[in-house]
Amino acid sequence: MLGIAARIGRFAASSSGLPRWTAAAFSTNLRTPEEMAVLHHGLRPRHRAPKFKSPRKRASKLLQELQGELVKSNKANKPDVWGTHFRVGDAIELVIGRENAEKNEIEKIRGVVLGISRKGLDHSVLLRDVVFGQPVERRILLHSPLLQSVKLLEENFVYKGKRKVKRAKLYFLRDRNPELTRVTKW
Amino acid sequence: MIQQQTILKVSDNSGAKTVRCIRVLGGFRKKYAKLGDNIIVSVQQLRNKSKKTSKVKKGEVYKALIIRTKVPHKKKDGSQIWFGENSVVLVNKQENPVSTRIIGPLPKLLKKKKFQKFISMSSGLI
Repeated sequence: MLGIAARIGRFAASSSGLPRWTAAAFSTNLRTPEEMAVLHHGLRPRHRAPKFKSPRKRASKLLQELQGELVKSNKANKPDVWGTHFRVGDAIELVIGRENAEKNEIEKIRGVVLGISRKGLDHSVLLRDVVFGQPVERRILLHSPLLQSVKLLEENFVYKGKRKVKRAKLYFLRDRNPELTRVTKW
Repeated sequence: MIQQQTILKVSDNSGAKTVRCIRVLGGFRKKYAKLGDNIIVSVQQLRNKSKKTSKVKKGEVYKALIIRTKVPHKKKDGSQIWFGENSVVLVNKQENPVSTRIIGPLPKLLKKKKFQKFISMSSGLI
């Protein structure tokens, strides 16, 4: 049994005396591009001037597109960083240093992922670790050119691999026993 | 953001346990001190075990170097680092350390020539 709208649409689509827009307005399936053209621009495609956007809006849109291109090119050119898949609650290790750095200039950072902030070019990771007896937290941007690679050490480190983490941000670990978030052995 | 009246921990073996900031050095009406700055402190508490053997006494005024803060230190590449406590190392008028050992790590911000003595006394750099 067809509903009322569907029956009107079917009647209008057939060669009845009703105008074409009624068929498009009452169509129950996804509208085709031809139906959309009929609804919005009338029976003929109309020539429209480009919409006036304030210079600030145009600039911010352009910046967004440029940042999107950078994000795409980074993800394609750096499989060591973007190929490893990690979640909140895992223990990861980052290698930070410029391309031709000597051995003593390269830094290895370990930590439990407390949160991931996905904001395009400012994609960042919050790491917590206990180093030399002192709890340390770091926020590191993953699109940094100094970042060489990301390595997953242990999944669900917070629960020792037994169960999954059920939160997006693990700030509650700051009030708990620091041994839970200790990745580095002194 | 360390300012006057802030109570800080001491992480060296000078004998002091906590100190209170009484002046932020480095400018006219400078309000806040951050990682790597010098401040003037007065000793509030001593560690229990070293009351007889400590190098400092309660109420004495010293200079101090801030080595760890809870406020994030922002680096030029956008990354940030912060610790679980506000901590200092006591220092004399010539900005040389009073103690012989530093407990805990130092931030990489202090990897400069003038902090060489502190780096050699600590357990490591983060």
